[in-house]
Amino acid sequence: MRSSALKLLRTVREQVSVSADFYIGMAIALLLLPLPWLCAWLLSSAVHELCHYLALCCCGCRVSAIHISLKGAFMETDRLSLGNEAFCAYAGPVGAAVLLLFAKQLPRTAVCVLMQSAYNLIPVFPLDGGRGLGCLLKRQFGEETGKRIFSIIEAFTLLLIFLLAAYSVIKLGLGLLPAAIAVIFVVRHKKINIPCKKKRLGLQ
Amino acid sequence: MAYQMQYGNDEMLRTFQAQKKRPKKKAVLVFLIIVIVLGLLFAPGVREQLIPGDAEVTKQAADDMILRIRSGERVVDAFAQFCLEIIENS
Repeated sequence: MRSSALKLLRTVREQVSVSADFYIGMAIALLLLPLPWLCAWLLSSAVHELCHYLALCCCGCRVSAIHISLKGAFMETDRLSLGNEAFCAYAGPVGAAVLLLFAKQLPRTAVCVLMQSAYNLIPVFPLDGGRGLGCLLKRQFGEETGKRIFSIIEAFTLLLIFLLAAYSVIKLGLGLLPAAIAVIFVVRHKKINIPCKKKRLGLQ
Repeated sequence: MAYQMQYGNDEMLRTFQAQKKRPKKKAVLVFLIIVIVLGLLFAPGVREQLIPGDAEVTKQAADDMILRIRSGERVVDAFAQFCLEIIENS
């Protein structure tokens, strides 16, 4: 029992890495947010990622590493089929929705789960909703056609987000925060790829 | 003729020198962003432009939402009511 616990601890230490920006983000969140809400958000995030992990295990996939950062948890896995990838992508937000059943006992966690699942189901890559939808479309219509359809849906969604932000700022008078959130969302999820720098060859 | 290359006992120094400078620049950049964000949030006048409305009313709306959920109301309905209260307050 003790040896299996030690083995599990060693596996977790080898596989799981936490980036520095996560700690910085948590420190800022501790300053700005009430502690019960922060704990609720952490719990909902942990359940969300656990559902992804369990789905990957169910698909018989090996998770070689987990990187936790402020953007979320990234799991390095073997290659998945399109159907399995869609299943694993949707498992997070849908699986975490189980916590809604315990809304009376954990109301803050239920609210965090609702917001997190709704956010992750937005059909924009690399969010779970975008990833799952992209895989399903490729599976149904083929690689090229599926990618094209997904691009149209993604562009429409981003346009909708901007219109919603503009409506919130101008009509509802919610300040600049909705516009800032929309800009951060687009910059974060649709960042431009920088070409790799040329590496120096070392000759001996 | 065989020869052997021997390196000095300064592996630790070479390891430090070989590390990329990028993580230090990133840390400085993140620190500056944090300082700017906190300064903007707590600077008078700027915060009201970014997040208008009374913070106490928002806190009260959040507490009411928690109470409604605990009394059995659906999470979606309670959250929608919370959002409506925020919009009315702004």
